[in-house]
Amino acid sequence: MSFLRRELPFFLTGIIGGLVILEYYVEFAPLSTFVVMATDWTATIFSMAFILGLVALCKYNYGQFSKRTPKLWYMGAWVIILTLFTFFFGIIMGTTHQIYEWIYWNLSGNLAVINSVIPAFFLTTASYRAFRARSVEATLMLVAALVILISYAPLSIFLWPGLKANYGDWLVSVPNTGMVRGITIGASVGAVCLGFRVLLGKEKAFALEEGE
Amino acid sequence: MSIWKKLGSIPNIYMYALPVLLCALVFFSGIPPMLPKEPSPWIQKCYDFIDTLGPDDVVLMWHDNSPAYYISHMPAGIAILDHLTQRGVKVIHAGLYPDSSIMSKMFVIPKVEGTMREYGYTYGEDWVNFGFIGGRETGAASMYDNLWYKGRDIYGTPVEEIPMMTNLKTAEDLSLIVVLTAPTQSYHRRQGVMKYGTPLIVCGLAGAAAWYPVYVQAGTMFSYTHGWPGGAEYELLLGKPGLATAGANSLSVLWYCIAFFIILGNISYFGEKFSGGS
Repeated sequence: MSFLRRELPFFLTGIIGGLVILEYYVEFAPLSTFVVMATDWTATIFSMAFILGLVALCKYNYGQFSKRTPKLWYMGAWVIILTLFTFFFGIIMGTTHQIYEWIYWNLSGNLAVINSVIPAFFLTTASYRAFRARSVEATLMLVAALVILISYAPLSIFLWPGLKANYGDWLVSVPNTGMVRGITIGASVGAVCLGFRVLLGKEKAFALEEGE
Repeated sequence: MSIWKKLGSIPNIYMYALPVLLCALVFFSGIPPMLPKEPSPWIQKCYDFIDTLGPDDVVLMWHDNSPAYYISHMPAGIAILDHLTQRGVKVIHAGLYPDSSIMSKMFVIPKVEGTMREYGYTYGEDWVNFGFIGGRETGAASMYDNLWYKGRDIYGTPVEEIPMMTNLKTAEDLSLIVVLTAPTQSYHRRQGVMKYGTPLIVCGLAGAAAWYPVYVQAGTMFSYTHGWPGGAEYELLLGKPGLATAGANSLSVLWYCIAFFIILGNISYFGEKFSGGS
């Protein structure tokens, strides 16, 4: 059991990952064919995760329902009904069916839009209460934020084009670009190191321990 | 309570109400949209490149977004698709999010139906929609390696029966990749640009655009549009005012409101500090 749960995943990860990296540098037709096939497998496995998610969602909410958890059991039942209805409707009628699209937009879509818009209000109050020039660093950030906010507003560009061209664009293309480059290069080097650790079997966090 | 303290403790409800009221007032007042006279250089770059494309070119447009952020990406995406249609470019639609097929079918393609009719666009010959492609980065990689990867379009038509797909094999056959998103642009840079050298234009969130100049300078991104203001500038270039142009004044007012409250908070902070408060 230990071999199947521990050694085999590390072995497969190392071999397949190594071959995919090798294919990037070496031109060898059978290797390319294998890598394309392995990539397709990954996409298929990824799609399977949605089924796993569906099962987990139903299981969790059924638990809430069957235990009659106060204030949650009826929500659990509602989630299961809606999820299964949408799922089977999509399977039977197809996801391009007009009613399916109507359900999607009117039940899920509008809620998603609201969720993404509400933070705009919190942003206003949070920036009012927290964005204070309490130190040199905070003052620099505050000034930069104000310059970008004001200079990039369409009306500002219309009225004072120089504000964006001289100050806003400089902030974005000089200090911002330098900072982003630093973060990107640092994160990329970290990702390469982590990748090598995974391929060499040194990073074990992704495999379950015995009994978990 | 001192005046400074009062200034620093305005109830949230006023801060929520003021931007909403001002935006609504500006939106419905009929004031003409005040947009930049000159578009941003990166928007101009997108426009100029698309203007060089023609009926022999094929563009892959990724709708990697969900309803949560579509408001930010859509105006630029619609304007770019309209421009591509005017140029007679063939377009493949796909997406790495489960919502992609609905997002493209409901919110982008219908907005350019008029232009499509005007330029005689036919489904299967001039454009095709493959909808959702699973696997995120590996899905994108599979699509770039083999444009027939999905097998069928969203209506179930086998790819071999779609005329415009006949001579298309890999991303090398594409003239441009357009991505309507912020989070997945790295997949397309790695799998489409670095592997096949196909130019990439990203229609991202305005906030995420701070990252893009780095990729443009490094050559892994051709250019980008920055959220709603980017969409408005592209509409301006195209000479077709749309949703983004209509909302440009409201957007300015909202940003000014946020800046106003930040300044107000700091006046209160320094007032209190210099008047001997905590």
